[in-house]
This record gives sequence, structure tokens and C-alpha cells, in this order.
Amino acid sequence: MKRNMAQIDIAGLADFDDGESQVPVRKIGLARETWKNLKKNRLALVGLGLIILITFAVVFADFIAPYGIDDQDLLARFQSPSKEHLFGTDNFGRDIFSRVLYGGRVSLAIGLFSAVFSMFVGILLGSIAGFYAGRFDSVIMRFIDVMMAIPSMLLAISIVAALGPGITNVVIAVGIGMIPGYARIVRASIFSVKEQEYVEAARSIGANDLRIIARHILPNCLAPIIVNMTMSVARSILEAASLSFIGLGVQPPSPEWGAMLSAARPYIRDYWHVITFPGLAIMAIIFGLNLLGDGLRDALDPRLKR
Amino acid sequence: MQDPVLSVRNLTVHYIKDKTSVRAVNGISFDLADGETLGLVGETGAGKTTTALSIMRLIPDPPGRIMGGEIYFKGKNILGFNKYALHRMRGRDISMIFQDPMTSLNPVLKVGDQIAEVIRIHKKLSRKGASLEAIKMLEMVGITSDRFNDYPHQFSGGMKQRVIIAISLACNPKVLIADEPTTALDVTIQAQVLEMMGELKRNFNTSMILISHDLGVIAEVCNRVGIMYAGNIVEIGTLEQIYNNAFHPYTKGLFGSLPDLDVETDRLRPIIGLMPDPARLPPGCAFYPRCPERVNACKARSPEARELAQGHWVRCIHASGTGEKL
Amino acid sequence: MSDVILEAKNLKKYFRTPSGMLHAVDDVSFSIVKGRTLGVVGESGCGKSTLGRLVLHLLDLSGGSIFFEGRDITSLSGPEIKEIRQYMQMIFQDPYSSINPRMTVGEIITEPLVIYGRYDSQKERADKVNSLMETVGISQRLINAYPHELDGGRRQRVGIARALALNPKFIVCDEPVSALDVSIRAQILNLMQDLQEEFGLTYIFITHDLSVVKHISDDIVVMYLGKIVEKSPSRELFRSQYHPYTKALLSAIPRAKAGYRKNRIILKGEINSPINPEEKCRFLPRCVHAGECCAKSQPELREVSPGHFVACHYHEIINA
Repeated sequence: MKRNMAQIDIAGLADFDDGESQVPVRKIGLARETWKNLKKNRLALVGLGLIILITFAVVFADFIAPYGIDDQDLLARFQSPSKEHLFGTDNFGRDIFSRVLYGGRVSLAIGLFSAVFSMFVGILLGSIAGFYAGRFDSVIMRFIDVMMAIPSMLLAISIVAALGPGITNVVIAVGIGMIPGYARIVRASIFSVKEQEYVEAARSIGANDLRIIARHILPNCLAPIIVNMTMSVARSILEAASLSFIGLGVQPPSPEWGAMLSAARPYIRDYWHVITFPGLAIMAIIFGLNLLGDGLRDALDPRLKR
Repeated sequence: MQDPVLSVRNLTVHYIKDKTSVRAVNGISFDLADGETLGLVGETGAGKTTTALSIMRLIPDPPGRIMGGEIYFKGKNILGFNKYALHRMRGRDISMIFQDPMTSLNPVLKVGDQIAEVIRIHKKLSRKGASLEAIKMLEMVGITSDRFNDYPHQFSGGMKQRVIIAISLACNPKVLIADEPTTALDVTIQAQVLEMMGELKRNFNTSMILISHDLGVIAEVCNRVGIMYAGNIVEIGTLEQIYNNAFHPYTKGLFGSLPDLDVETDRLRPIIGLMPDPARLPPGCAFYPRCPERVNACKARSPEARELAQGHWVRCIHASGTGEKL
Repeated sequence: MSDVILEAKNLKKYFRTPSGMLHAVDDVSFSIVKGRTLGVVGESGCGKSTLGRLVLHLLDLSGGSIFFEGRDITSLSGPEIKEIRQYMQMIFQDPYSSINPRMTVGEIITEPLVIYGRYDSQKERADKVNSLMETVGISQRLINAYPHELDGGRRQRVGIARALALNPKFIVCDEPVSALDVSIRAQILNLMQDLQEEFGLTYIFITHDLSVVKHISDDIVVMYLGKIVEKSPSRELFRSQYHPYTKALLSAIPRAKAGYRKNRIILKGEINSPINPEEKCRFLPRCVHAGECCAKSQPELREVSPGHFVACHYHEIINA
């Protein structure tokens, strides 16, 4: 008898015509929801467009670049931008446009790999510090504090000086400098999410620490991590370029953008185009990443009224 | 019958987000008489807080927009006030106590200074003069003057709420709007605070609008009660009329779903379903999907307000033909 | 006494704070018979929520012992705790923060089944989830909805479904309806009663609202600053209270009746701090009946009528 009364409640709710459609709710993940919000931000879309354009051009450099990276034409040195050479030629007569395209592969790859590297290590350290707190937190965060006290360029320089130049070492050097950023963000996020009741609820249904961190805590810390990701890709491209600029990064003849800037230094006064185009390329990707990062930060913020 | 001190007529407030209109308040009308305490009862989404914020002209625009209606205070329409008139009004003529006392006080300012601030804004007093007045207010709400220089975090929830009450009454406003003033408090502390509010009200002769979902709190303090649902008042009357002679099915449902401390019950009688989404209100009576007394005609039009007895108005199709009409 | 499902003896939980030792729960004992509900009532700082978590091993005990179905579960290893969790679940207070905002309704309810490896096929798990949703009254079409798309009442139902997923015997309900609207409250309370009957569940029902606990509890325990001040069968408590705090608590509740005139007991002062309490009655600072003994020692629980206990030095005089 009593069960029937509950069924009246339930029937009341299930058959309840509250004007909502009877179509099952579709699963909208974080990605789709974020994209919906991002679409409304025109600047962010510009940034995204820039990134896609540059990445596309760089990936398909084989098809787009009219020349190879090392095609020297000593008779055509320092030519201004023209139809044959969109960005002109450098001191060895090499087509700057093609070198920028191929060089982009190096720059973007470094940017991506260092960001991913530092993200993984940073999340690991930040998670342990945040989740277990206590002594783990103290030790890890002091270590992080020391890293942050050293200017990142200086840190990168010392690491490259110790390990030697080359792409892998640049990735490591630049990546290490960005670990503290991730670690602190993740740790702060975890501290606040840790106190939420759903984490306690997860414990009460038998979840172990790993499941709690991976399934309950980290997914709710994603927003700041994603935003930081775009910013750190930008930063690492810039730092790698800076390292190459002072001769400590990728070595010539590799057409990494920073290296191209450095090589063009003696010619700034007479041949503007040699230094300008690689510089513009760096600027364009950084700009795009920053715009996207800002847009993502807003799009991921649930509190922002749109 | 005296002129009401506050008169709301056909107030309609929408929140416009993307292309949808959230119809928070839909043509609400009520009067507040001098010295009276009017209770506005409703559940989440009924539009009570929006109504209160509209009176204070604190609705953020965008996305909120007052679509129509008038609010008369001392004969003038508040909705026509410019910035300066509003600044003069808030705190001095009409005051508001917001929902969460824990976050209503500035954590970096001393409590006494926060009371003195509202006094200095509206009265031409020196710093010292204002502080003295503030101390008087503190004592009136039952806090000793030695706590003037303490910070909010040094007070318990109940005491923070007393400070907020002191701030709101410091300039002796004609109207006090209290939005769920005791909801966040423990029940024994709530009893203290309600008792104190009743006393202050009598001393200052303030008219009050008390917003709450708690029918018990309303019964303690109010002379008249309005029941809100989906942005409008569905029933309004004196305390006795609403509590002893409820007419509207929603009102009856609310009372019926309460556990009664003095009666033995085996099982509660809830109202089925949920309040409608204010972004998608059905045409006709908003209570239709949940109403045990509904008929087909209810779907067609939203019922108008009819007077059942002196001062007791109801919006329900079944109210036609009963009671007197003025 | 063999159908006592849970027995708690002298439970203590102390927290170390910069200002001193916080006695959240201080020497609390009770036992619950299978299929019944124990209401735990009190205001902020009384330790009721802490008590609920102690019973479920979500917090470690500082002292005392717990027996579940006769078995000592006071100190258990990790795997043992996981094993016992199948039988003891919790329904949380805030429907807005007790379910993971990044998981769908279906995922939330399925998770316990996955953790404990119940059912071998995904289909069987899905069937169980569907049946749970039906039991608690959530429409099937919401299985892929996220919490922010649901209102408080529905979210709370998701939490209840999650708690039922493992077919537990015992559920601690921590203020399950406090955050809900009045009309939804009644729906959820009825639901919980039905579930108790249908599945033979035992509840600890924690709340600050005496009116909510009245008809769902068989016995009630009133707590103040970490100690039990009165313990009684539910019906009887509302007829006669012995402890001054219980009387004040009951009298403080506003009645939804016009013209209700009663002798309101307004307690003076605030709820004291549970940090470094002294060896005296914790209610002393607010008690109008305070006498000599009250400042000298803590009162013990004494039986004043069958099943009805009170901890007050002067309860006879007060209730004469």
C-alpha cells in the first residue's frame, strides 16, 4: 500500500509535463560546452584561426614551400620580398618564406613538447602536494619555490649550458622552467576541490586515492590547466627562440625562428626583411595563443554570465 | 484606510540571456501599509528576491530589465528615480537585509565603522558623531559597545546578522526589506534574532517586507502574507486569512506538505512535480501541471486576482463568483 | 539484542587546532536496531555531522569503538574498510556539491558498481542503474544529464540512487533535505521512508530541524557541543522533554500557525566553542536553571523513563 503512494510521487514526476521535451538529454561534455561559449568570443576565434593557419602551413610545409631550407642561391642574396621569394632571401640566398615554414616545425614542436612535458611533471608534483598535503606538500613546494626564484631564462641557459645545445635539450631546459607554474595551479585547484562533498562521497563508495584524483579531482581542475597550457606553449616558443637567439638553442643550419633572428642581426640596418619575417612569425603565433588562452579562460569559467 | 507607504503595481522583470527571456517577475502588485509587516512566501524561483531587488533598484541591467510597472514610495514612482535620488533612498528611506549574513559584511572593515558608514552617508554628522550613533545602534541590537572595533570574523553568525540589522535600521528607514534574514542561522539563534527584530520594529515603527520560504518564521512576525509562485502573487491576505482559510491550491499544498510538530503523521503530503522553469512558463495558470484542482479552462488564461473577503485576494479560476467584490 | 545492527560506545573525536583541542564528539554512545531510524539532532558545533562520518570511517576515531552486526569495526585496514563500505553508505547534505559536476547522472550512479565489480556485463550494470533511477524517481531521459542541468530535488535523488547502488544495509543521512525547497522536502522524505520499508534499511538521520526528524525517526538523540544531552523514543520526546536545551530547541521552532502563542524559551548567549572545554556541564553558560553541581562536573546520562535518558544534574527539579 505504501509503495503505491511512492509510485504516485514517482509517476507524478516522471509523467510530469513540465513543458520540457521528452527527448533524452544528450551528453554534452566539457569540450562541447566550452566550444559553445568560445564561439561567441570573436577575438578568441581570431586567435584560434591564426593558430590553425600557422600550424597548417607549417605541417604541410613540404607542399607549400617553394624551396628547400638549404637551397642556396648565392647570386640572389638579400633579395627583397618578391613574387619568387615571398619573404625575400637571406645572406645565403635561401628563401626566407620556406625557411620560416620549415622553421615553424621546430619552433612549434619545441613549444608543444616542452609544454606537455612540464604539464605532466607539474600535474604530478602539484597533485601529490595538493592531495597528500602535510610533509609532501612542504617538501615539494619548497623545491618549487627555489625553482621559481631563479629567472626562467637563466635557468634555461644553465641547463642548456650543462646539457649542450640541440632540440631535445632545449625542450627539457624550457620545460623545466614551466613546471612550477603548473604545480602551483594544480595544487591550488586540488586544495579547493578536495573539500567538496563529492570527493567525500567518492570515498564513501569505496574509491581509492588514484580514482579520486583521476576521476573526481583533476577533471574539476581542468580549466586553469587548459588555460595555462596555451600560455605555456606561447612562453616556450618565445624562450626557445630566445635561447637560439643567443646561440644556445637550436643550432644552425636548423631554421628555428629564434636562430633565424640571431643570424639576421648583423643585417638589420640594410636588409630589414631578413629579421622581420621570422620575428613576425613568432609574434603571430604568440598573439594567437594569447588570444585563444584568454578566450578559453572566459569560456571555461562557469561563473561568467554570458 | 491610510495611504500605503509602498505600492507595487504590475511589476514585470525579465532576465535576458542570449535570446531567452527568464520571466522572473510577472505583473506583481501589492501594497505595504504603514507599520505593517508583509511576508512574501515562495520557493526557489518564485521571484521573491528579484522583487525585493527591484524595489531597491539593484537588478543588474544587463541582463535584468524592468519591463513594466510602477513602484510608488511616498507617492513617487521609484522606477523613475535617477542615480542621485536612488542613492538618497537606499539606506535612508528603504533598507535591505540580504540573504547570507556571512558574506554581507566587509571582512576588512571594523564592524562599528560599517554601521557608522551608512550614518555618515545620509546624515550630516562628523566622524565622532556617527560613531556615537553607531554605538547606540549596536547596543540596541544587543551587542556591547566594546565590540565596536572588532572585525566580522570575530562574530558568530547570529551576531553578524544583528550587525547587519543595525546597519539597515541605523537611519530609521520607512521600509525594511529582509530577504531570508534567519535562514542561515541555528534555530535557537533564529529565535533570538526574530524576537529582537520584532522589538526593534515596534520601537522604530518600520514597515517591513519579510521574504522567507519558512511558513513558521512568517507566522511569527507578519501581519499580512503573500504567497508567490512563478513570478506572481497567487494569494494574499492577513495572516489569519492565509493560515486559517487558504484558498489557492498551491497555498493549501504548501501547508499540507509541512511536517507538523503537534500532530502525529505517518506520511507527508507533498505537491507533485516542480516549479516551472521561468524561461519557459506555460501559457495560462503557471500552477496548472501540479494542481490537484485543475480544469481545462486553466490552461487558457492566467487567472486574474479576485477578492474573496476584505483584503484576501486569490488568483485562481475557482475563485470566481465567491466572496464580495469591491 | 541480536538485531542491533550498529552499536557505538564512547565515541570520541578530537581535532587539534591552533587554539587548542576541539572536542567535536565527546563520549557518545548509542545503538540502533535493524530497520529503524535514529535521529541525531542539534545545532552548529554539536558534532552531529562528525558523528555520522565517524560511523562510516570517513574520519578516524580518537577514541571509542563501533560494532556493526556484532563485528568490531573500530580499527580496520584499508581493504577491510572498502569491504565494509558496501554495507554502510551516506546521503549528503548539499545536492549542489555532493555530486561531481563533471559526471553524468548515469556515471555517478554506476561508479559504485564499477568500483566493487558488481555485475559482469555493462548491460547488467546499465539495467541496475535504470532500475535505481526508477526507484528514486528520476526520469530515464536524464541519464546523460549533468548535475547543473538538474534542480536540487533531482540532484538529491541522484545522491540517494548512488547510495543505494550497492544494496547497503545502513545509511547515514546527513541533513538530506535541508537544502531543498519545502514542497520537494516532503517528496524526498516520503521517498526515504518508502525505501526504508522496501529494502529494510537502517538510517541515522542527522538534522537540525526537529520537525523533519519527528515522523521519520524511531529514536532521537539530541546533541550539544559534542555530547548527548537527551536520548528518547521519538514520539515521547515531543510529548515530554527533560533537558533544558531540548525544551528550548523545541520551543524555538517557529510554528506555521496564525496566532500561536506559546511560552517561548529564548536562550541567552551564543553556542560556545567546543575547544578545550572544561570539566563542567557544557550547557551551563546558557542555562537558566544552573545550579552548584553544574560547574563542578559533567552530568551523566540517566534513565528517567523506559528508553528515555537525560544528562542533567537537576532534571528532577526542573521537571517537577
